[in-house]
Amino acid sequence: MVEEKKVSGEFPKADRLIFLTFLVLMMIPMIFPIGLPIPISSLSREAFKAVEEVPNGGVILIEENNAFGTLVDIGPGESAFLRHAFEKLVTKDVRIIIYSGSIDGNQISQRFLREYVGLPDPFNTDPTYGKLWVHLGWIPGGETIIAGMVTNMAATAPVDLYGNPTVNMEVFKYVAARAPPIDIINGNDINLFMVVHNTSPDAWIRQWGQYGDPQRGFPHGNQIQIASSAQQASAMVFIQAGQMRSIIGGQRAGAEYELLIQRPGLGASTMDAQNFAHIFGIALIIGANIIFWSQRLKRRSEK
Amino acid sequence: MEIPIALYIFFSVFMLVRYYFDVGKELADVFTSGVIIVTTFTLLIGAYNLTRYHVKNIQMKRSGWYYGLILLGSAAGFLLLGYTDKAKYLWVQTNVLTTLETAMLSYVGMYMFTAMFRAARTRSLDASVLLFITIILMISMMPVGSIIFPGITPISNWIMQVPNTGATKAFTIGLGLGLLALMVRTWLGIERAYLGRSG
Repeated sequence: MVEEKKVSGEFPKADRLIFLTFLVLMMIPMIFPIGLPIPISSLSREAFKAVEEVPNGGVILIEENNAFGTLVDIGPGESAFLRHAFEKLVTKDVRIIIYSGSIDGNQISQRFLREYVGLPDPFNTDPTYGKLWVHLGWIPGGETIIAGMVTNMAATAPVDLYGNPTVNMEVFKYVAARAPPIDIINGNDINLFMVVHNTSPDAWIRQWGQYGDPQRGFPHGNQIQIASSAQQASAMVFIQAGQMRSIIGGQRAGAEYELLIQRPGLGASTMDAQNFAHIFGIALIIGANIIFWSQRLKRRSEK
Repeated sequence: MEIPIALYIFFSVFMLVRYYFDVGKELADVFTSGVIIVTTFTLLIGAYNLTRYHVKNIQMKRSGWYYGLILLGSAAGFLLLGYTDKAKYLWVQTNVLTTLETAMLSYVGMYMFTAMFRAARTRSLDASVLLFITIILMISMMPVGSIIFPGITPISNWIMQVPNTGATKAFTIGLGLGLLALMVRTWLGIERAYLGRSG
């Protein structure tokens, strides 16, 4: 293909045309929603099933590592999951422990708990706070902290978001007493692990992958990860090996989860645009190759 | 032997032994708290370095010094709002910070579309196979893909579960071996990049 000269600004003419077409294609379904069907994948169903299967009085550990930049992609899955988990807190007395491994994640989790779960601000004014659930805030330290949360949680997180000592909290005492040693919270006390991230899934597999739910056929890793769709490829290895149960990958899986909990939201509303974007991408690849081959054949015939 | 290397050897061996033999729990908890404190301090060092760098830029009127002024002004304003007016702080977070960061990420998406047009060419057999797989996965990732092409899901599942898994496993094992080699090199004092020196 003949290379085009730049017009006047930074981008070549073809790029400008692509940007403009893309923008128009994204705007059309946003302004005039089509409502194309959203089939639900087996991975999203498995993630939903994992929350449904948490027994009465069971425990969910949630680590939030999302960033503001990836909020649009990962946010729908996270908000739907939090809603689902907190429904179980009401209906099945499930205990929930949340903490953040990133500064952004700390802010995002609090925002989602207020906006989507409907919890009051500050959280400690909620009557179930400290009894059924707790937010431990941002705990810096990366993988060391991931490991610490399943070896001795109270030592790793001595205080909650508001500076209250965790060892005195009802929820901590309850969770610690579920499996020996009865005074320490470790991985054996947790029924379901959930992590929201925009990096590689490895660290949580290394540290949490050994804790599972043998009664439900997951001896090594009853863990769900909410990540970008690009992470789905690397997560498949761990899902196949049984070290991880499922992944809610990107906006599409988030939309599927919203449908599973029967609360369509941001994810479902953007699926028409995502269909258009994929079709546009495929059309670009096919179109570029048609031009490429026609020019190549033309050159050959000229020789 | 230098002190940092000796410290590295002690902590890494201790944590390895702790992981595999379940000993020294109390001491491991103390070290974990130490990691939290050290990581928090690195954040302070980062903030100090960033401020110093931009203040110097502004003082010397280096190229693009006004960006530094915007950065420091925004950081100071956001910090101040966080302590004085939570409602406004949350408004800025939702409507400014989130939007700007999302726009930055979307920019990459724009480049991906131009790359599809410019780089995705069937120049060789390898490139053709790669593009064919790309199109299959794009269709399967498209919400209505499995409705338009009902047979696409088993094919994309096979791609994800067999060739993708094989390649990712090889990559993961390679990465693990590389980390192990790096640890041994650091123990032996050959790898010194983390001390700010070349090996």
